[in-house]
Amino acid sequence: MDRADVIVVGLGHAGCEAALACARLGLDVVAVTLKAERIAVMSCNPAIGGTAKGHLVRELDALGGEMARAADLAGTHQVTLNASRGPAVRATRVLCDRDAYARAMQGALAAEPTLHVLEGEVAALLSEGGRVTGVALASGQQLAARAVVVTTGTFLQALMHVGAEQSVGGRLGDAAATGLSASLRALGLTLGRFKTGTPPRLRRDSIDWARCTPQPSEARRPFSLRTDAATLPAPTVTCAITHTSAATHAVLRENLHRSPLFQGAITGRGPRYCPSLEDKVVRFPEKGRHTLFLEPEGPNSPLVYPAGVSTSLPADVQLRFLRTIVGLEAVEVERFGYAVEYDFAPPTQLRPTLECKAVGGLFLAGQLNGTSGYEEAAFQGLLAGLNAGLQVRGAPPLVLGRHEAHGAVLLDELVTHGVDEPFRMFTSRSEHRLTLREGNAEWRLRAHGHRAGLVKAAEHQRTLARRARVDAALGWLSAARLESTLQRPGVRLHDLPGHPDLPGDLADEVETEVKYRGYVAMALASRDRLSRTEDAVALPEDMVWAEVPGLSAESRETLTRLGPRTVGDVRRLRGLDPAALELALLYALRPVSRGTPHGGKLGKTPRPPESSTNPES
Amino acid sequence: MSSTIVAIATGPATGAVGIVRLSGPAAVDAVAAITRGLPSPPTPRFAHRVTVVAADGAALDDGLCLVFPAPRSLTGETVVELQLHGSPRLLALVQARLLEHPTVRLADPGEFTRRAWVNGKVDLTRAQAVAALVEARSERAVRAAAAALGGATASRLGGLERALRALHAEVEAALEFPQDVEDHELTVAPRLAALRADAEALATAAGAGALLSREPAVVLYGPVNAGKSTLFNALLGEERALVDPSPGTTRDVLEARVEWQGLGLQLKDTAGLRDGAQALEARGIARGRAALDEAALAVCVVPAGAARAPWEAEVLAERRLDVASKSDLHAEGPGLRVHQHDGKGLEALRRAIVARLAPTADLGVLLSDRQRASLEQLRAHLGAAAEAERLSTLEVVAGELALASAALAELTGTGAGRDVLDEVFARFCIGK
Repeated sequence: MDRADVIVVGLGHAGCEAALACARLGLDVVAVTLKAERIAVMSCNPAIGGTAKGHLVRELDALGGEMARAADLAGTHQVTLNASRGPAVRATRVLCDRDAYARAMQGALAAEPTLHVLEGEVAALLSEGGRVTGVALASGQQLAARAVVVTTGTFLQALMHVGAEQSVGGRLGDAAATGLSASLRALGLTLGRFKTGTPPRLRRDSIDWARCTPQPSEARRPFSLRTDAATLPAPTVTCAITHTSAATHAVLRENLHRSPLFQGAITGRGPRYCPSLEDKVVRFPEKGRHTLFLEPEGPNSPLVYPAGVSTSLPADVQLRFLRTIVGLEAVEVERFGYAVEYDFAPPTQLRPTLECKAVGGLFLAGQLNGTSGYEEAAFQGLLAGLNAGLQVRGAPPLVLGRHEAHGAVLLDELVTHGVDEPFRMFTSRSEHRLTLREGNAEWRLRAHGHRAGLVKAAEHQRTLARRARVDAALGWLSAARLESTLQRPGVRLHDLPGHPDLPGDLADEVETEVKYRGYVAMALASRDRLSRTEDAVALPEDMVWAEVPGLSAESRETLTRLGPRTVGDVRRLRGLDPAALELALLYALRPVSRGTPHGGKLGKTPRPPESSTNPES
Repeated sequence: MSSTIVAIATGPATGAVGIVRLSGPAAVDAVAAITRGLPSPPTPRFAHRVTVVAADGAALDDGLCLVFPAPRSLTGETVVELQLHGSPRLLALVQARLLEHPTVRLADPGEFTRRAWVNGKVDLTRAQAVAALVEARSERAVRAAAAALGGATASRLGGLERALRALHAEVEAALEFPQDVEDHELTVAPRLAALRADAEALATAAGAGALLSREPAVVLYGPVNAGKSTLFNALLGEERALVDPSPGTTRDVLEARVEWQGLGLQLKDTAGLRDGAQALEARGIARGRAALDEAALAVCVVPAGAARAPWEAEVLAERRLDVASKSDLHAEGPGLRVHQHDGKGLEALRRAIVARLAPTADLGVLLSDRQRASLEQLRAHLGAAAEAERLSTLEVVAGELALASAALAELTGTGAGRDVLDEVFARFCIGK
């Protein structure tokens, strides 16, 4: 039997990062994929980044991941979202040449000498004594490994819907993975079912671009710390905006009975933030029109991705409603939109390292864990791969704190709270939003990447040198007593006499750190106050939630599964109604003197106070 | 919460009727064990005639027994009421008999209401209102508690919560879906202003409510021989303070509780202020000044026509009410004038005092100290959000609104509740 240190199953956005992380630790990696030519394919929209997602990409990059670099190489068009709404929510979105992106990522994999790509289908996971030992391929071949990272995306038991037509497959043109679900179940994991969808692809030359509003690109800026701005190619693509009309909505309403979603043929739960167009029309009847973003899939691609018209209606209806849209009157559809249903593994079965609680050495990452989005998948992939690799090397795992990264919030939400719809990252999920900016990801995470072995010493040194320049500027501001001047609205660093000469991105950092100092301090103080009162009150360690009378079975199950440790934990739980919450707390904190077995004690096992250190300093 | 609780529901004094109340699964068993005449099973919500017996079988009393089976009862558990004769000794004996049952125990203070709350029979504001109603000492306090019990506080807080959630959702929708919600669609400033006005009104109402639970002190002060003690007696309508024409008669601080226009307050008479007083009188003056420091309202009593400035300087104007006494001495003069002997101006003074302490007819909202602290946090974060709306960025506004929501959740006693994202998805057409 062939051997590897780590086997990665699947080479989508999670699998690529996982395989690269292990290889960069110097480990022997075998990455198994159904079709090598489909490695790192962008199966939905051709863009990397967006709100919260841009943050994840920057964090991934600082830790030593590849996604930002591939987006820089393949980028065709770039926008900054929320440009005027604050530096912490400001987010980069890079439209890519779909083929160039896959080529860039495939190139990175090929550059790793210890990484071997194997075409095949993993039919089963092998284990012994609660520990994974390798995989069995459908061909009958077996591979041994000390850790396995499974990143099979939407391919488990996948079922595609176009109108009433159903076909087995994880993505148009690709097969489904059928054996692995049973294997995961046999190892003691439970699986759930989700659905997601993708819009139709339009023929570029059939669109009347003159009738749409052009959306030109901004000047390109590097996403990755490894990219030199001077080498970035100029934008090569212009997008456009158009809108649906009353006629579009009429076509959709007349044909709702043919939508598998409204017919109940799709049972899995879909994401609320990515509703189908028919869903939007039904839920928001007062909206007279919905916006479409027409995004070419590459400078030379004949295809256009129309963001905003996700649908699972039958092909004839799709064509009819599309042709009621301004600029699309004569549109030709290359591929119709479809919905896909797939198995996912509820992520509360995972440790914070993304290792299965039930099976040692088995790590799960990406859409398989119930998430949505390339960036969410990639971040998990990196952490799962890195932790698998660190475990093989006998090194301590990397688990980031919620105050350090949006990616840490993502992982914590997944393993602590679980998911009830495909999970997308939002900046509001973080209680530390003001300090988790795209702009400071470098200083938040580069050192972690370096310590773990993913970031080269020279790259780490460069980050330290850049930070030193920011600190010197902050020192100058303080000595010159110009901080309060800079805090005034509209005042920029270069407005100050004698200002230090900094590149634009570093000057932005200095301004943000000074302008936000007061708000950050206030937010920290407020959180401290809350955590003093609530997180300091520990619940009994032997709390048996099943014994709490009056609590619904569902609430008991939630509490038992998530095992809150403090009053603050209970309050933050989702899915508990206020009465259940109070009931749980009253019961848990009954005074001991009443002859009852439990009693909350102040500071019995208090949660360590969250570091109040400003991650920027 | 499988135990059954018992308590004497009526007051400690002798009365015509006394009630012993039980709540919990063993309530009927426990009563059946010490009575004769209760059918098995008892008819729900029916007055059964029963005889309570002692351990030796001797009859202790005849009375009525009412059974309210769970969940249709005050607490949501099975509740039994024994209505007996109102002898405190008898009721204690009956309670002791009931406690012989192995799963019956004495109720903690407020435990019936707490069980009602836990079982979803009342919300937190109504549960608090029950306690406030029991403790109410003045007519206003009764009315305020009754209003809270009727849900007035709950609906007021609920309105604030809905408005805050809606605004927070709007801001987050813009931040999370910048391509779906554009700046010109945002209505942050006016909605924030409305929220701040609501929170301000709630704080005022909570201040009024605080006066009802902690009755305010109104202190009469001024120079010696101004007639403060005569005024004190006149306001009370009884001779409480010794009065004498010689200066410095009052030494100690005298207190009396009065209720004017339904507002309960502590009226205090103090030693007249003067320099060079002898030891005992000087100590009296010191006590008077201490009372003055803690007063909700200081009534500065100076004879008509006499110089007022030095006495008015003792207390800031916002805590002070100026009164000219001995109005017969000087025919003309500004402000409130009383004649303490013939009663002229007394009713006007009472009204003025009540008007200063409770300026609106709003009875007020009854909040605990902890809740008032959370309300202050809420107001601070709303204020910071408004400032950020003008001077900083939308993300700072969003951060302050999140903190305001946390403060409001503390205030209402609910958890962080629904995620703001749920609100965003429910309200806005977003996503591609």
